[in-house]
Amino acid sequence: MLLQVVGIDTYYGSSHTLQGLSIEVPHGSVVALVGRNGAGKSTTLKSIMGVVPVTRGTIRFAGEEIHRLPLHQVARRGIAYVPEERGIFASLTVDEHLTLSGRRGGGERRFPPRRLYATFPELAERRRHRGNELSGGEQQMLAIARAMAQEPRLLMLDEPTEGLAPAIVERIGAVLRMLRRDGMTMLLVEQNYPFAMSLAERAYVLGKGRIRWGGTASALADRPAVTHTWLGV
Amino acid sequence: MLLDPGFLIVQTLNGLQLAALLFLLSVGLSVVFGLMNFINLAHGTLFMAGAYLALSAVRAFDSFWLALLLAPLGVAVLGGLLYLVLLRHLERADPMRQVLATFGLIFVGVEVVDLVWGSLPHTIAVPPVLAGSSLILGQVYPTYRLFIIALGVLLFALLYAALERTRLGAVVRAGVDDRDMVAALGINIGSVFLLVFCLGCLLAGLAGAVAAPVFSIFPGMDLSVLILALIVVVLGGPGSLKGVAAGSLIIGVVDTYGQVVVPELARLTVYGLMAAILLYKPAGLIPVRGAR
Ligand SMILES: Nc1ncnc2c1ncn2[C@@H]1O[C@H](COP(=O)(O)OP(=O)(O)OP(=O)(O)O)[C@@H](O)[C@H]1O
Ligand SMILES: [Mg+2]
Repeated sequence: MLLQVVGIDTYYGSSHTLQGLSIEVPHGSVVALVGRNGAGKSTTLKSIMGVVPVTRGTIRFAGEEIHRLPLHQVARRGIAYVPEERGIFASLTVDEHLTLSGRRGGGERRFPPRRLYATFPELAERRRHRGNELSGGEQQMLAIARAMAQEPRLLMLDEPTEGLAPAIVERIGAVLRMLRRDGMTMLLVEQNYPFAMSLAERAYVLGKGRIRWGGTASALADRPAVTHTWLGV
Repeated sequence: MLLDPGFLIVQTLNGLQLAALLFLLSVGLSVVFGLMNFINLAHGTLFMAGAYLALSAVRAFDSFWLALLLAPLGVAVLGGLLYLVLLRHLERADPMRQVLATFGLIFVGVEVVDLVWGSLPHTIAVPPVLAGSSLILGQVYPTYRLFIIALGVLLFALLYAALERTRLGAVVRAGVDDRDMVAALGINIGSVFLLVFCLGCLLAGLAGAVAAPVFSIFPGMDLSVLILALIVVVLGGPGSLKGVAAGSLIIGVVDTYGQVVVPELARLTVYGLMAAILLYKPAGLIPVRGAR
């Protein structure tokens, strides 16, 4: 198991946002985390990353407990994070975004800038442009490319299709499928249920801070009661 | 008097000289504010420390140039210690506590300086190479002051190149935009901050050492420059290098002219100008792109 989240509690002030949440992400798999607005999906990723502190439970990554590590240490263990708000730096060029991360040492790079630009030709054309000059779709592609440049062992994506035109969503879907073929382990948060199900092997349904259902993606398709109650589909 | 070209040239040069000092002093304040949302009111104290360390170095080694090297390094070390012992714990504190704690440091600084060097004013002699005057645009003007202007321009160019062309510069710019995201890329933003903080202290110390032969050195010499530096930071837009340069130029020139043309208004010209600019550009003259 690459990632094991066991019974975590996360609070924002006095509001108990995650309540004993547990999920597992096996090596080389794509796991979807779905749920309605405000269910706690983003908070789950932030808790794993260490952006918000967990007050109870454990998070293990490749067997090591990481829930007390500062953010940059979690990232160095090999977790890349594409946040919902994308986290593009307004004053950095596209090139700078892709060379910023302190990549973990040695060996052949799986995603050198050359390959990233081949994957996202849209970005290659805008190498010298700054983050605030990019469209929403370009920003999302850059956020994913930047995460790939970190050569992560786990890629966490928070609603990568949110607010994007169907053609861009299709482009991003194609890249994520390519990564899946490559054996990249992914934890994908989505409100776009069909999109998530087209990629994931396993899914968790999150509702009001708790896991309401977990299993294979195909099994979820046969549970209309679950999807109706917790996803509204 | 205002239409006399000689007067205009000399006063403008005086303004540029003050601008160069303000630039050196304000860079650290601004970048630290932009990067960590942290306001260090003791920054002026580091300027004063630079002047006094330069005084002691000149007395010990009888060399202005050695003093110009050692004093900023000493101030950088002092700043680093101050950060590790005290300021680091205030980073996440609310702004009021930061203001109070660093405000307190101003008085500690004045007392310490009084204790070590005494309360009488001191000066440092201008180094022989730069002593005397030069002819510029038909005016006789102190060579040392031209040196200060040149130093300010040189350091702006160096810092600009470092910020725009190096990886560390990119990390700093990214940190000003979104600190957590930089950490999420595996970069230890805390150590980057310590480095930037020390560099800012070094430049404040350099400003103090360079100013020492022009200003008189006394306990409390930091207060009036601190106020000007704060105005520069607010005017330019915190975290913006070009903003600091623009703010320093404006404040340096306006304050200089204000003092000679309408001395009875004292600093009111500068305060009035700040209020007027902020009314039209609340985020400062050259805000950092995408600043929230
Ligand atoms: N910084 C914060 N401070 C206080 N409450 C917060 C904060 N961030 C999120 N919340 C609350 O925590 C709950 C879970 O939020 P979260 O962002 O994890 O939901 P989500 O499932 O990602 O929703 P969405 O689909 O809208 O992105 C919500 O009720 C939200 O209002
Ligand atoms: Mg969310």
